[in-house]
Amino acid sequence: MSCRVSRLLLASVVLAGLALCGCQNSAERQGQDAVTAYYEGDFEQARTLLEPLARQTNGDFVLNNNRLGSTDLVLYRLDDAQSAFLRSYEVLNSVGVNDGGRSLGAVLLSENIKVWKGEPWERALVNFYLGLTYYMQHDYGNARAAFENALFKLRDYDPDDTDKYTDKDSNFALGYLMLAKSWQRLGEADKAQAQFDRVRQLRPDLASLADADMNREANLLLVVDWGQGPQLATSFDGSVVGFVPPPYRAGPIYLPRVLVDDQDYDMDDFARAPVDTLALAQDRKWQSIDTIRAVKSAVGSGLLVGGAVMGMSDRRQNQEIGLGLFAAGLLLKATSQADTRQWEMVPRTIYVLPLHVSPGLHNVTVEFAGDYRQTWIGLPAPATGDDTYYIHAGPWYEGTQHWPPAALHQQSAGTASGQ
Amino acid sequence: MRTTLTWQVFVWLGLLAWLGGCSSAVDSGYNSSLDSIDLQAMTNQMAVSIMASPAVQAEIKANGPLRVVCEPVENRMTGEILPQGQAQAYTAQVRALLSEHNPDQFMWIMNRDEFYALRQSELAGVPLGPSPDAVNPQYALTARFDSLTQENSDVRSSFYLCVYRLTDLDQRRVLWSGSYRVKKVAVKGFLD
Repeated sequence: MSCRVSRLLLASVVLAGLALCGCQNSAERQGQDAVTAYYEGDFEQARTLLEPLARQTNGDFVLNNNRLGSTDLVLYRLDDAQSAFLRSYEVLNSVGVNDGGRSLGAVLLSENIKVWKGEPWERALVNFYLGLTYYMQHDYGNARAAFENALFKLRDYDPDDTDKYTDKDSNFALGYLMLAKSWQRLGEADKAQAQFDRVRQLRPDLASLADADMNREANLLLVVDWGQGPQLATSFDGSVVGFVPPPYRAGPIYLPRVLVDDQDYDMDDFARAPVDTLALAQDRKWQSIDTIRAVKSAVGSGLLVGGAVMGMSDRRQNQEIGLGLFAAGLLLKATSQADTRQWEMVPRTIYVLPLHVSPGLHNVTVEFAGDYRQTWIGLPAPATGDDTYYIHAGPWYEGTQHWPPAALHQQSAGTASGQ
Repeated sequence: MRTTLTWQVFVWLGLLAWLGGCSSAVDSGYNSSLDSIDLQAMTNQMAVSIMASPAVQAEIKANGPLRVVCEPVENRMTGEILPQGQAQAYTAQVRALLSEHNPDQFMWIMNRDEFYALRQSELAGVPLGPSPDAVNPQYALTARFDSLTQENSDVRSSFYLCVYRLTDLDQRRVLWSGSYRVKKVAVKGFLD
């Protein structure tokens, strides 16, 4: 084998190795452990694992803060969840975070090198949850801003493709709904009505849920996450990604049943899913890097085949050329792997359930077709305005909870005692 | 010889890219939000404008130091979050500048939320003086930030209008008003 071919092979192996190993393997493993803990219902452990990761300003900064925000929200660590989502918000609103080495690395070596910002719909959901933390703490000005920003994020889809944009818009009526509610709490009835009208226009089936009077009178708002969101899957050679499953394969979205003080609360008119993340995720935003990766993969495949054919030749010179082509093909294939990072905690849907109950403490139960039954004892409902409660429905969180949750109780006690 | 050089360049480029890929996610980006430069420029402008106001000077001359309560900024910006700390900083910085340069002309009274937050954070038994209800301010320094923000797949742009007011609380009279305008654009690029 000639010296030139040896060097070529060595360079290929080095670059392919760099592309495949990245620079934060142990951190990525820790992140995955945290996701596992989250899905096993061990939210404290998930938080313990994620908290240090979320401070590291590496390529997973946004991803880990999203994961931490989701976990803190379940634990009712509202200030911490808000801080985590706010850190994500600041990077998501910035441009040029991948300029320089990261862009070059993403093109030449591995897409995983880039700072992960997620798909437009994931960015919209970050803003939605950030808005929710503000709404729950009655900071309606910032809640409104976050919900507006959530709607902005969907405009990252191709503006020339109006069908796709309109489709996304209508699938994210959730954003308009919460924006309307925020305007309503800010005392801007006209602006609230405009957004309620927009919800009805986009999703006529949500007409009752977008009723201004019902929302004004509601004093106990339940925001309920249900189901498993989309999962990233790659093509056979890892160069093309997409989200699965499509909504029609995942089955129907279950409707919630709510009991207040053991009495069924009639929600037939308005208990509708205002978002289906599986539908939102079906159209990925195609970026330049997707094209680069696809081309690299196709050329790499060609070189592999060409190299193999040349390598079967009887002539030594052709064999060397074949080996060189094969090495180059291997290199291109290894560096055309798609970025498979995703925010794993995204639910299938998020219900917004405005209830009107007598002021005071109530026991509230939420269940889905007899499953995921979760009861909260002593939820306060105010005489004016509304109090908002986030409920994360799932098999790992069934049972009875007492209000206030431990984290919220400690937070209040800490503030009161000056800690 | 030429091929070897090409591959060496390729490998070094790859190594540089790999090392560059480990840079911070929060250092290299920029956005269209208000930043510390705006904070400084805006608050300097407002402090100078308040002191230069004939109405403010006439009031001080007639009635002595103005008793002013400082309120956090009201966020009416489109799609822009203003965290509590920043909302306070934008008016507190004006207060700090006026206190520093004109300490005899203003008496600053803590607003109710600040007072109770401070009282909560103090140890029990330490008196904080009279409650805000007992010391009535005569004027309020308030601010409201509005913005027109647009975003699409190419660009995010915001035009900000930040209006400050010094309002007579008894007579609902605006003694002074000043504004700061700025437009910011963030152009999206590769991988944004």
